[in-house]
Amino acid sequence: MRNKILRLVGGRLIAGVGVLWGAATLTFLVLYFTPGDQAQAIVGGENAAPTPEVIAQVTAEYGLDQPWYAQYLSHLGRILHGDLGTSYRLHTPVTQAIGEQAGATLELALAAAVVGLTLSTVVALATAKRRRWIRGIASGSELVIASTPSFWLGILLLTVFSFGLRLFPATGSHGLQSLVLPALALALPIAGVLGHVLREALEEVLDEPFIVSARTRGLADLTVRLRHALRHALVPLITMTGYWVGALLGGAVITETLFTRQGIGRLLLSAVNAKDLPVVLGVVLLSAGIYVLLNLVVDLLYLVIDPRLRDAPATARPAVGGAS
Amino acid sequence: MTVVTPANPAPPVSARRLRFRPGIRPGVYLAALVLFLLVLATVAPHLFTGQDPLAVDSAQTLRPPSAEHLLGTDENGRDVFSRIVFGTRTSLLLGFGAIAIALAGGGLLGVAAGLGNRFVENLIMRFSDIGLAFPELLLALVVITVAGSGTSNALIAIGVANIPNYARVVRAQTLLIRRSSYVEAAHALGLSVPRVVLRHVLPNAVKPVLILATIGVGSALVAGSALSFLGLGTPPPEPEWGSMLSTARDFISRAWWYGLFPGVAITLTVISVTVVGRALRLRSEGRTW
Amino acid sequence: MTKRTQMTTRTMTTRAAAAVLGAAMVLAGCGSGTGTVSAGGTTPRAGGTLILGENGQEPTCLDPHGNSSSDGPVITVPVSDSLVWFGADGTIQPWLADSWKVSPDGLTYTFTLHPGVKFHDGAVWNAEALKTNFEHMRDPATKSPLAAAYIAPYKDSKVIDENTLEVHLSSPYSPFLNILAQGYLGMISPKQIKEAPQSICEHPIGSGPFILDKWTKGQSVTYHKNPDYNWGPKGAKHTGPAYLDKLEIRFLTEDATRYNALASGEVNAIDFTPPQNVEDVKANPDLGFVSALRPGHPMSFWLNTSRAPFDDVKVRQALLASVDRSAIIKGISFGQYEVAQGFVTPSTPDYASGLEGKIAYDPAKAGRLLDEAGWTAKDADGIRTKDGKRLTAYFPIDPSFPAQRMQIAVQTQAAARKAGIDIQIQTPSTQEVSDRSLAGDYDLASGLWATNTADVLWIQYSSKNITTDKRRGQNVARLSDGKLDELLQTARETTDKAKQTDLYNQVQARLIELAPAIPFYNDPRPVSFQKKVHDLTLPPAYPSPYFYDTWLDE
Repeated sequence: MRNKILRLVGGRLIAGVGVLWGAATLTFLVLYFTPGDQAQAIVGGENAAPTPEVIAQVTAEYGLDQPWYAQYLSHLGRILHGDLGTSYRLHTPVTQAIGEQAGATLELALAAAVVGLTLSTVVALATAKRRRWIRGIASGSELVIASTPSFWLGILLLTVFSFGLRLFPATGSHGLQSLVLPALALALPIAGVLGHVLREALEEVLDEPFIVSARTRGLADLTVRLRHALRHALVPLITMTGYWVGALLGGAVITETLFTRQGIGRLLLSAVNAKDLPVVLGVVLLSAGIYVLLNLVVDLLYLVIDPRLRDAPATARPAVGGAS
Repeated sequence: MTVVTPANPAPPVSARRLRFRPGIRPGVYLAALVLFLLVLATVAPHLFTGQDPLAVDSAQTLRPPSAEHLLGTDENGRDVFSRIVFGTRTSLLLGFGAIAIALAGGGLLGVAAGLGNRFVENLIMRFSDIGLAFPELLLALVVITVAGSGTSNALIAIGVANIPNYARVVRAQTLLIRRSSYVEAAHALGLSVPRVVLRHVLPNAVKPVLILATIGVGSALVAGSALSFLGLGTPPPEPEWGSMLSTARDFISRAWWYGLFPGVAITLTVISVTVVGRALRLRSEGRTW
Repeated sequence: MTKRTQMTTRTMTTRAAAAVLGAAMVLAGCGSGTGTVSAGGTTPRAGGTLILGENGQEPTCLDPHGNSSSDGPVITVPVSDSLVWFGADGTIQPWLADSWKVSPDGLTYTFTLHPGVKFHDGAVWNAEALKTNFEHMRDPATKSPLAAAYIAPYKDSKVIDENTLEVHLSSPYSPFLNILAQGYLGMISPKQIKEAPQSICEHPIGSGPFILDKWTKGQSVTYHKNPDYNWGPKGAKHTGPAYLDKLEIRFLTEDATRYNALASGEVNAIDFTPPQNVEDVKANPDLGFVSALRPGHPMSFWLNTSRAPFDDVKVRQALLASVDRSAIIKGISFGQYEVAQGFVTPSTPDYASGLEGKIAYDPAKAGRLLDEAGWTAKDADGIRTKDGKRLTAYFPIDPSFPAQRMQIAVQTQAAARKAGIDIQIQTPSTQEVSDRSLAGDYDLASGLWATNTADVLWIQYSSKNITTDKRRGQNVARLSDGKLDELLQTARETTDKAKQTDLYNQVQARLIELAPAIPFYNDPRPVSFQKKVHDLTLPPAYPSPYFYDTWLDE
């Protein structure tokens, strides 16, 4: 048993390193061949008027005159040492640039995850196998919310709750109050999707014979739902971890821009615009790292939630976000 | 953002259990009707409005809805309604085009992985593993960094970002069919592999994947308008819903209509696509799955 | 003063009224501007924290010499003092330098420095410190995008004694003192420059009234009061330390968000008040408003004169005549911006007010000029053609530019179309716009240049400043005109004020003939604040919020 878990973890780790290496290589190649004069980008800006000496200095300092393989190798080498290079635009180490922003994004993503998961679970528990009109309302609103782009939802939330009713601040990363609207804008569309999946799973489970037998033993409806059904219904939710974490990270770019929050999403967007290769590379590696880590956690979670899987052959386990 | 997650189009656990009943049938017809109107607006926008979506009027900026301008005017005095109508083409193009690219790329890789030897399969699957490690929007941002912004690049970006998902689905589907008795029978009869693929695997794999893709169109459309919203998609002055909303937020305190209707258009479109896609899926599940 | 100060609708302060001499600082709204004492509290009181909502152009480096962002000075001036102060009347006044002498040939400047000034890290301000700063601006390692170019004629300097420095220029450069008053050339601790130059971007140490606490990127910069401060500029209203205990500058990119943050009391003041909200601010009894025109080049679309179609002066003049700038600017600014009348703003020294009205909307004239230029035929779209070629001009716009730029572009495009000129707007990435700008691959380019000297015209239009492989210059119009070059060079080298004014008048007249750009509006710096905020000022050298005199009436 322990051997099996160790082998699983080891295998996942190796696969994960492969993914990270592939990610680093891919993004490096891709960004290396992007057209554009990087030296100018480094000292750029609307009002910039750098002298030739400044340009020469920058080219030498950033190794921009080196051949591509030298740049690639030195990149991989530095990544191995935990050095993601220096941002062209910010003139600070990338790890520092990301580190400064990571807290805010983590805060937002966590808040949104809690809101999204709680909301979808509560709604699904309350509406699964209920009367037709209740289910209709629930699935209808899930459909509408899941179909609303988060940037428009954000604009609506801002207009109503911040500019209109002045219930919540519109901006920034200042305390719990300022977290409410961005977290909602990020969480609601995801909650719509998850709620839909969860309710379907619950309705399936509630038809199972062991639920029927639990009910005949006289257990209250709520107890049945919470104690017996929910556990099984959570499996698809965990299977979808890759999806909703990805949606949180991708959505952060938009939510942070819209609500003027600090964070990795905004850092990435400005880096993309300025062709700040080290920062883009850094964020991409970070996201790949999170993905690899999640794969591992999800695999372990399956073992906890569904003991039957412990005896199943390793290949039968669903991968995160994959259909294999 | 995603409606039905292409990242997880058919989770083995829930796929079998899908028993979604579309609330009311009329809803499906209504959605189909909306979809039909949208397609009509794409082909012949002039049927809906006589106004030029690019006609600038410096004296008529940010006017509220009126008889002359049904949904008001924007910051350049252009008619919001006609910009929404003419924007349909770009938005639908983004949704359908991106998914078409994802289907083509993913289909090719998926079939190759499903039928190829271990090495090919491993190569393709590890490649798609790497692709899956990035959120859709992040991957699209990387593509845009390389190719630059613009409608076609946004379309390609989202398409490429979705290739790994579809490659996985198609591979799973291919493996399923490959192991099915009728293909094995055909093989036993001495038919060549390419022939089996063409005659038996592809037609059987296409249908469920196409239905999935219908639903994927909605999420691709949202992703496309999100890129435009970030200033990386369709450039002005071309009308596009996402970029309209991006500009509208600056004027939200003066022009509610400008920030409202383009959003309604996106949401309505995505709902219609999803409802029709789900209905199609249900029908097909009843028969083939 | 009548036409160019339409924004001065209410209380005109004494100082603004006295500023007719050229460098006008336009103040509008009641309450606190420079030089007024508003109702409520009469005597300034110390204490409190002020939070300013700034727009999103957050610099990537807080070294004053290492940035060129229009948000640079608002963030660095609290920390770093300048050598001299630029008065609203265009005169240069003492600050960290008590006095200075300029040699008759304009090549040697001898500065006598203010004694007793200490940097936040204890370093002493002296001749050596000034020399170190000049060298830091010039050092390629600083990667200075602006300061280095501004002091390009600087050759070297000699320490005469503790408080006297003799600066040598390689060529006469009359705007030298003007630009030294700008925040981009503020003074940094020589100790930091020598011992930890890599820390300046992150945490600059100066001698200013505020000490930087923390820069949280993407969010805010925080400061606290420097209790030892006793060397404020002569142009300030008080002496001694600042009144505010603490200061916070928050970056609020979105216009709607920034305005609402002020309206809901999240912040005490906002910079760059969105034009669509200025009326709301003025109508709100709890809010005050102050604005200053930025000196320098107005917001303009430069026309690439080095290639077709804008290499033909008649086509350029035709485009200028085909655009109703007043209607466009009125619409996009909700009546808040004034239309530019020339190629420098009225708040720039040596502004030629006599030339106002020379650039006029005249579609008939536009048609005539295009006919004369040979663009006589029209194709099916109504676009003029010559020898089978369409009259098309390409306009790449950085998508991260303010929304108003795009509005002006779109409306200009519509106007040009009526005259038969096809403007193609393109939105490549920031980086690609920059690359194309370097390569000269554009027909129109948008921008402005804020600086407190008419030498801005040398920066923008001298043929020396056309970008080449070796040097990036700011002559975006790529204009090369012998007569203009000579006027500009003589003006920048002369030490005779009257002669200089005359030369700059000729330059401005010549530019109107050459039509190298469509000048749109005189860029204001509109700041709004809660009524309890007093004496939030905008220094004329580079108008951006200045907090030394600011106090809160709580």
